[in-house]
Amino acid sequence: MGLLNRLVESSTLISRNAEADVYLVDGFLGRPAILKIRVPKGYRDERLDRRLRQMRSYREAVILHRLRDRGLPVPMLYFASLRDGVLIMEYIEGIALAQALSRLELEDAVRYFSILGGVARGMHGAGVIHGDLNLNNILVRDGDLWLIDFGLSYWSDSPKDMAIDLDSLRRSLDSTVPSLAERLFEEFLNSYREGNNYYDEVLRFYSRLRRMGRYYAER
Amino acid sequence: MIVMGIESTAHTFGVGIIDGEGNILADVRARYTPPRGMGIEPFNAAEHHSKEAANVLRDALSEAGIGVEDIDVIAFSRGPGLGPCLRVGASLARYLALRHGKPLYPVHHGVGHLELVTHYYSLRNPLHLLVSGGHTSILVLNECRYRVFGETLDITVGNLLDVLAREAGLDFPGGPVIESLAEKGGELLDLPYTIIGTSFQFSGILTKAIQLLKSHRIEDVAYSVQEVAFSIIVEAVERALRAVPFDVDGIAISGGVASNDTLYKKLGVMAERYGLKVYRLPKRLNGDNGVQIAVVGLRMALAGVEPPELSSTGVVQRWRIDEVDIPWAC
Ligand SMILES: Nc1ncnc2c1ncn2[C@@H]1O[C@H](COP(=O)(O)OP(=O)(O)O)[C@@H](O)[C@H]1O
Ligand SMILES: [Mg+2]
Repeated sequence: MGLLNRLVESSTLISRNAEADVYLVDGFLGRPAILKIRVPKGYRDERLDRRLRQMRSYREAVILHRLRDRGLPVPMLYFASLRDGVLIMEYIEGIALAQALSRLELEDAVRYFSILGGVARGMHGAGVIHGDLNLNNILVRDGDLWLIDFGLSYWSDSPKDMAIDLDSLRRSLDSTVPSLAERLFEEFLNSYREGNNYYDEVLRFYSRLRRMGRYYAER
Repeated sequence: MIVMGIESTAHTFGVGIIDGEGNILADVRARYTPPRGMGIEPFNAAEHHSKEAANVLRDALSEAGIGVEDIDVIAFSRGPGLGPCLRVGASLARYLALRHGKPLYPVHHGVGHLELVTHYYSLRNPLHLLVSGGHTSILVLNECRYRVFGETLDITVGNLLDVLAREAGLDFPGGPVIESLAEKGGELLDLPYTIIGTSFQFSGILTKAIQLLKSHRIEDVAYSVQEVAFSIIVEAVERALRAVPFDVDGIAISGGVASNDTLYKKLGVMAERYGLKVYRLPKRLNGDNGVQIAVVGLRMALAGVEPPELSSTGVVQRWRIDEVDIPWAC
């Protein structure tokens, strides 16, 4: 951990969230980089906590690697220490779509959702479910878009799981920009659909999930 | 102003009376308890409520030291809940309103839980965690409605605890029994930790826990179920904090499961990191009661909401909390 501590000391904390502390590293092999550390959660049983942190770091590392390989817009992974729950990755100079939406013209917002539809289709085609597809895990700049934060991601080629990503995105839209949600989601679906063999099935599960989420099951 | 609230969504029949400042003048309840090993049977519960309604009403009036004619506004929980139970409260409310010429407000039961804690601590706009038999949701008031920032995608946490207790042959409600058993457990059994952004699922935990009952101590099963289910909830709340597009002035926990100290403590540990306080009502007010309904009635009256025609005050068994307009926050 000595080397890591030194790295952290010379970095700036840019985000502290539910899961991780995220630092901007000034120069990692001469480039700006992001250092993400999954910190222990005092409210969880230590055994459960350690298991979750290791598993999530592992998944994020492997999935970043796989998606980047497929040419999808995600940060390049530079380094991973799974035991410590530490990842170092490419720094994306962009802002969260959640933030961007409040300043964007509708037309530009719509364009991002069209790009997003294609990226989500590519990700699902690569057998990856994001697991936390919300407006804060999408970074944008000048018409380009990246997906980040794959800690809750997993492998699956089941339309049922793909539908979960659609539901998360829709919920995020509904709660943050209620008045734009419908329009932007429609645009997302339009491009998610293109040449997507899974589309009909995914949408069927999505509708079901939405209904179910609306009224809880009883046992 | 004096407001009466009538609650009868599930196991509890309650009448609450408050004054115009929201001070509680009366809070009387009767609770239906299903036979051991069984869930709530709606018709039996409704029969219990019909039998108790008059007594509860009379006791509430005498506790408040008033007569029906002193009441200015009547509110009742219109849903969501069990049809037969809801109809008992609705009938009484309509009868009183009609007979004594009082304005009548139908109220969403869940909104009652939220508004009671907001009101009690004079909060501006907290992040709400509503944990009960009917709901497990994370909500914030935004643009005239309670927006759901996260929720269970299958069963509620109250349901998880009650059904587990029932399967283990324990008393209803399951929450308190599971909590005290968990204190004597400590082995962490493997249960599915399913969180999807700020939403989550519990039915996998229930299925696995029921299997584990056969091979493990009930204390360890109880400990593990609480540990995993509550950690999921707290993590989802922590994630939701980030998703809310403005600052909240605390975390408010409500609903029957809010009485669980393990959950409350976990939430506190998380909130401290963000400099937020967790607001929880005195335990008695977490469970279903008439006061929470009266508080919403008071807010409606103060906001000048026109009471609906009597003919459009029918009960609604399934009613999403985010479909309810909140006129006093517009
Ligand atoms: N590769 C990156 N490039 C630029 N900023 C990043 C990158 N990764 C994370 N961030 C910033 O850090 C924040 C939190 O990172 P994220 O991976 O989403 O972790 P968390 O699980 O805490 O949400 C992001 O919202 C973003 O602002
Ligand atoms: Mg994130």
